[in-house]
Amino acid sequence: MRFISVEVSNFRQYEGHQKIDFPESDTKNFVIVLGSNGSGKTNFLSSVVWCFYGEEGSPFMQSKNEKRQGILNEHMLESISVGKTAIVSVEVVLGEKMPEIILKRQATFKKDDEGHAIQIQKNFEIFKRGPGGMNNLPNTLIAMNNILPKEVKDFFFFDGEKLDNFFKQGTGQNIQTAVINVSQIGLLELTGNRLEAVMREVMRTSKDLSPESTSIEGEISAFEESIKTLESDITKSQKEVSGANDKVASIDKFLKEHSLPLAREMQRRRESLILQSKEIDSAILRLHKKEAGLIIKYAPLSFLCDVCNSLVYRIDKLTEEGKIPPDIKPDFLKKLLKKGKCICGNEIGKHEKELINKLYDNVSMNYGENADLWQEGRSELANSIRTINRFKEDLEDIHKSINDNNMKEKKISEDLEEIEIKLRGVDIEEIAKKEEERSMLWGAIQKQMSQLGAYEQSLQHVRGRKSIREREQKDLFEKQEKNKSLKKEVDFYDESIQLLKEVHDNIVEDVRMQTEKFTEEYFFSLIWNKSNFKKIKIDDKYTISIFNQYDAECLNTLSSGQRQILALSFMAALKKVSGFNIPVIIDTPLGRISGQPRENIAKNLPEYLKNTQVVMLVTDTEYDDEFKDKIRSRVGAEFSIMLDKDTGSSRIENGIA
Amino acid sequence: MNLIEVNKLIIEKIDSSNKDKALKEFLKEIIRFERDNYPTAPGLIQRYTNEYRRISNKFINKKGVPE
Repeated sequence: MRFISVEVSNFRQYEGHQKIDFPESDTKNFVIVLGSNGSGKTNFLSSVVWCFYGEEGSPFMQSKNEKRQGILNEHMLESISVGKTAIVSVEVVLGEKMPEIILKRQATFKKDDEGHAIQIQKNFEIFKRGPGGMNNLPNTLIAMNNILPKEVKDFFFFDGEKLDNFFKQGTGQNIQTAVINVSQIGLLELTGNRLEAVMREVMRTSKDLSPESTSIEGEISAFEESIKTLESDITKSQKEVSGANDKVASIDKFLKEHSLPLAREMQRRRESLILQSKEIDSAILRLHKKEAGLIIKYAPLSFLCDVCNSLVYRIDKLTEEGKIPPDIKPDFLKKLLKKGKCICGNEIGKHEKELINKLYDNVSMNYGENADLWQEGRSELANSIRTINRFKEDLEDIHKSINDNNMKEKKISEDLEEIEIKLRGVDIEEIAKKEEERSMLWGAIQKQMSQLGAYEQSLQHVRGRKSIREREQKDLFEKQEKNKSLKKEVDFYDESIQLLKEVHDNIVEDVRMQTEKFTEEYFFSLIWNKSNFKKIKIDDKYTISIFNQYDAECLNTLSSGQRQILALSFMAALKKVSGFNIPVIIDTPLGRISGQPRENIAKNLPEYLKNTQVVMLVTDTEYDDEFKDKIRSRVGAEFSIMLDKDTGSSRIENGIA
Repeated sequence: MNLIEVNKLIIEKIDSSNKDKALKEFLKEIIRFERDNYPTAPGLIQRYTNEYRRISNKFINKKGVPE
């Protein structure tokens, strides 16, 4: 499906009715909407998202609108009298040749005594083509879930510039959320949770619950409450980190593009230091993993270090006293005597021969077969001591490397602090203010990230305890004879839950693998220096890794442009995997990309999205002659957003001036 | 893989499992029940418990019976 038209009325800076009629074309599936910064491109995207879901937010488009209050056009609000009303509406028509789906959202606002717009009414309707024409669908929630579920919207409507943040912090979590959302397994999770609740409800109905079982039931309910609270805390925390990251990114952009050379230089230096710091973090993480691996493998043996050493001492002593055989094999002595030559090649003399003979008689006669056993034991003991010593040395090397990296990290922190102090001391109020804001945001992000880690750990812990208690409760329930008839039912639910979990994991794993495959395919077609990269991996913890030609992980060293290409590839992959036939809107798709990558995007993006209508909201620096030339054959229409600086209102016109 | 038909995919995955047929049929039916109502399915535990138990009654005694 494609957009047939989008009509926006009084939404933010779009005063009155503004309508775009999109032309129909099978091959020219790209639509360009050109507008300068601040003209209303992001608000056009927001208007479509608002029409679909009644909200504007997306992790990739929040920050640009945050200062604006309310969706009613400000000029319209000023022009109406107190007590009067004004309507904001957006209508989106979707279809191929003729309208198949019409989405209409309206909100009525009344101007209060203080001049604020108060929403007094809202309305949302969906019409779908049926046998008798367009029918008004009764349940808009279910209908939207079939058209494009809210969880998937961010892979269809997004801000290209904000994508850069996607791979900056909390990557694993972002990707996991994306994969789970695109899998749409909310239905499975809901069913699974309900099955568990039903199973417990059935157990609860059993007569004369034992006091122990009642107490466990209470604990499980408390765990459930904690899980709900922790999940909501995690979501809140993630939103805060994402919002703060967006703000930091825009301050960084401001500093990097500032006319003051010192600001530009300091910001560039800071970005380079942050990259180095990330590489060091990755190195420390790898070292810790290596350390953990060694400890798991060799620590139990190393606990026996003292025992092994004292054993060697005692064996040596007993050997000296002749109570156990010396450290030599009888067979070896026999061979020496037979050959008449030493292992060094020299002839064995008469005297030596006598000594060896004596030794052989002693070993073979006094100790018999035990001599070989003693020999093997000694050898094993020596090996164990060598392994323990090597383990200690390896551990020391790792600790030394971690220490070195920590020192480097400390130095980077000091340098970053110095940059912060310099920028805060700049005699330009705007810069000093921004830097102070950045410093606060950065501190808040670090605090929030550590809080997030603690929440996630607690969640895992509580889930584990809940699961143990549930098992115990089931065991108690089954022990009671009177529950025999209910046991069959409970077992049935229990097995169903297990099967549901298998299906759930299976689907998520399939989606993860498909996403990895398409992300890699798209990335290698869009990136300019292909030979520098080898492969892309999304592991089972949803961490995305990109490997360079030397097989080293290099996500943290990608430039902004490269990261944006990676994010665009990831979004295109998720869109493909989701299978929804809905157009895509990308705001500022080329913001951080220039030169060859732009050409690659112009050439390859239309290929990946060839059956999809793509609306690109661009500035004139993005839509330059070179890009225009490359994409011309795929562009079906061009529109311009014109901003009236006097009224602050925008209008949409056909064509580009 | 086409996730737009995610419900179809869920059913396919359940069918391809080597678990008992009665279990699979039970799951497919409750998923159909949830799908037809998702995301506005009844939220009160008593309401869905009744529905789940009604559906499970149809299948419990068939569990373990060879296909």
